[in-house]
Amino acid sequence: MLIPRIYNIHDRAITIEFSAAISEATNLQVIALQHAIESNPFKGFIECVPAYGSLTVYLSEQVSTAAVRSWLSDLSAQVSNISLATEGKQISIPVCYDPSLGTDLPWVSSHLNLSLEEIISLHTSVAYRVYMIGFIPGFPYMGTLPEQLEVPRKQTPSLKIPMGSVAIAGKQTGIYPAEVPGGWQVIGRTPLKMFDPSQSPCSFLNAGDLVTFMPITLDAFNQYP
Amino acid sequence: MSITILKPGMMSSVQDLGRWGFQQYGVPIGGAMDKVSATLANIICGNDENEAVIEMTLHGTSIIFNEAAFCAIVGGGCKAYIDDVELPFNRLLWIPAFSIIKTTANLQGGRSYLSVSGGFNVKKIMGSGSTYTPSGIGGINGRNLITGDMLAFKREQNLHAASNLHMLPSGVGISHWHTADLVEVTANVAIVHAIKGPEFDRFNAASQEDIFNSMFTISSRSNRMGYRLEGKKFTLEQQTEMVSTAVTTGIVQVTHEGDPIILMADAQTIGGYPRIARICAADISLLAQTRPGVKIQFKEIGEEESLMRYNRIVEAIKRVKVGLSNTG
Repeated sequence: MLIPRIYNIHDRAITIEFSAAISEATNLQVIALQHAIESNPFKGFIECVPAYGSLTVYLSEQVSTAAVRSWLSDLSAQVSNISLATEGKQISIPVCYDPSLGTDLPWVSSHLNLSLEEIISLHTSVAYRVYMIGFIPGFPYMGTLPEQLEVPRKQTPSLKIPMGSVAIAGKQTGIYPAEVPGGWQVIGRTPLKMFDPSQSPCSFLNAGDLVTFMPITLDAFNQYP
Repeated sequence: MSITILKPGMMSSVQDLGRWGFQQYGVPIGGAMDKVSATLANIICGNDENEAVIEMTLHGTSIIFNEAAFCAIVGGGCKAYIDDVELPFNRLLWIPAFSIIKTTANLQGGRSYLSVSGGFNVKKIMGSGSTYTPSGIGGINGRNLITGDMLAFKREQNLHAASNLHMLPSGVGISHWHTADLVEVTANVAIVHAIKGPEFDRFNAASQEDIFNSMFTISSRSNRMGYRLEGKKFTLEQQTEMVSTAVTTGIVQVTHEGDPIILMADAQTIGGYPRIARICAADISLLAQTRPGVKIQFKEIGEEESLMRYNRIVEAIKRVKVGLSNTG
């Protein structure tokens, strides 16, 4: 059993850190704790923020931080005994791997000495766990990428990465929900909207979801409804 | 029943107390940089504390009132005038129709908040009117205010005898009472109370010493997301890659180059830099009122004192509220 480290990141926010490493087992525990809190929230509970190996809990002035800390400590000990069956959705995401959209494909291909077909086949070969959503609204941090596909981040981040870009960095893959600067290597693009404030929830993906990528042609991408 | 922005000044945007409940989807809390002043501006107008207000960064803003209205200005960073009459801060003001409020430079402070009685009619996105420009949500079309933007009032405003205002010849009314200044505004060295951060122990001895014993200058490369600090550089004892975890307003993170950044209102929800310190939540408003170029010094406190200081602010706001409701 993991004994978490508990600390405040704000006078009204407590982090329960199970592990400072990326592992599916730890992330399952994080999500299980989140569900345990949300299904039976304490007075003054505001929200939870899951990350790779930690959960952060925000609370209002109605409740004492010390009391919540000790309650969280007990609860996180119990959570390791709760069944950790994943409740995340299984989602297939269409991606066009055309080099006109996956603008870093040529670099990735030469850096890894893999053909375009091999990159696509590797990227679509596994189901990825959404470990957390962050960086910008709706950006999913997903893993674990097949080892053969591991590439470093760009030396100098791109000033504009187009919305929907599917990118890789280290052991992770992610999707840019808006046009922003970014340092991951772009290998394709999805026509799906990752962040939509008019939808509930606003993020297409949630921490705990399982994602597979489905290759589509440039025509299919352009004609996507 | 509206105002129109004639000039946004350095930067103006619609903000409230933030967008809560969506951080797990990567949506920052955002909202007013100085939430204490924004809250006071609303309390003075008899509004809900979370009503949308206009956050004016420094000076240069010019706003015309298309109809008469009660309003309040709280904060710092500018002086406000109608013609040559200076408008006092922290008081209820009656602004006649077609008056133009202009703000000019003030050596102290960083941001001022304009509230109107009853609030502005701002569409709430995910429960908040706060403008968050990186995602283009909140306020007016998810962007900062520009010339020509019109903000409607939620309700009609009438000057009534009960207001008990001091009326100037120009028709501007000023309340006899004013609220206490809850945010200390300084042009010299801002003393910011801070607690050791979650990764404090990972920094080398010199860094651990420097954070609480040297002076930093707020860089001009600062914005609503974060304040960059210039001064001593920080170094980890061992250079290791951190796994990203939640961050929030007040966290002092250190970039790979060794520069500290204090995360402010639009802080991202998750970050991967080591956190050497965190600012006491009670001092965030003070920081929001501290402008680039001003020096700050961190003063180390413990968790308990931090909480105590934070609770003191919460209580002070409550007292102002009770005091005003007795004023009538």
